[in-house]
Amino acid sequence: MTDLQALWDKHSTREEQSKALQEKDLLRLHSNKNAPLAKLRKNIYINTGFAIVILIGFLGLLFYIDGFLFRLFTGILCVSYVAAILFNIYMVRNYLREPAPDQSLKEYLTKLLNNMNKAFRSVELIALMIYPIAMTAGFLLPLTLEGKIDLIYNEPVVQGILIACYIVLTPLCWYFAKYMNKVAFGKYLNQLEDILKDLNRQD
Amino acid sequence: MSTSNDTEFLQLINQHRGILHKVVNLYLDDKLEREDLIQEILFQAFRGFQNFRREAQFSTWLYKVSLNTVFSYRRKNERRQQAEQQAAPIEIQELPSDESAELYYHIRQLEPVNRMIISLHLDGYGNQDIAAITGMSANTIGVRLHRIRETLTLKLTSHHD
Repeated sequence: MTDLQALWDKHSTREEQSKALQEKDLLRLHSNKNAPLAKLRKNIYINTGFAIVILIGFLGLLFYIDGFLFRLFTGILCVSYVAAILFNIYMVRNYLREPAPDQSLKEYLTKLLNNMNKAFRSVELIALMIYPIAMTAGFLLPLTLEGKIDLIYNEPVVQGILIACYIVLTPLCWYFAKYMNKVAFGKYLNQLEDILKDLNRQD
Repeated sequence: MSTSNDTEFLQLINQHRGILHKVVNLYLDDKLEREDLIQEILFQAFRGFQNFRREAQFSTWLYKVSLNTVFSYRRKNERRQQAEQQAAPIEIQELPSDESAELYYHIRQLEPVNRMIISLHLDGYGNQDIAAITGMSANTIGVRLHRIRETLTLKLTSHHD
């Protein structure tokens, strides 16, 4: 009687074995599902989508509403939105790429986290300068529509309200944007940081 | 998924990665397709690992994941495979000269469920385990195993007589 078990064992020991799975492969598996890298990319795309919609809105206003001052501030906003969209594309292409096969995962994650944190800090700081411009444009819109743009030059109460808006709303917008960034990106950056910490512990 | 889970998954999958090859080799011929399917099994296992109950054996669980993935892959590609088989000229494969390779060859000729049953059995799984993996009753497994062993033995001995 043929011993099936012996033959099977003999064949099994000869079976091709794959190389062991590495941490890098895990990251790839992570990126297949709700992985931090994939989520970061997705949220940047969503952010870019919103920026494009808002930009289209601003461009519409720019074309349909006549008024030099309003157009100047809205124009600056349009330029800053275009810059933000381009920067998002740059981030996805340069920072959120998959690690190269010969790159160490630790080195890759360190670089990615540094770059992303720096990028978000810079964007937050630049946005701090954009908020007053956006508020001014918002302030100028009804004045321009009603043909009362002179009020901004001559009426101290109007100027006072605008300054009060700067003082109150700029920090609020800044904190809100920081909070939104934390919700959209912070969680996933923390997950990547945890992976990096784990890798450092293993060394 | 936490990173300690990642480390545990890495360790376990590396200990049992032979299962992936075994299952995939039993059901697919094409090398590239096999590699793709291994990646798919890894992905499915990784995704399901969060729900893996530690009281179960990892190898049994991995077998189940691998087989489910292979079967759903085969179901998805059934039409394409049928069309390819009809279009391609019938290939007469030679029996391998080595006895262990011949056993493997004959196992691959069995119907898909029987392939799974015999490979699990030869890998040391009991009828209860196989029943849990396949969803059949332990009695059915026993009967099927008896028949499969007979068929294989007959084929191996008839060729060498």
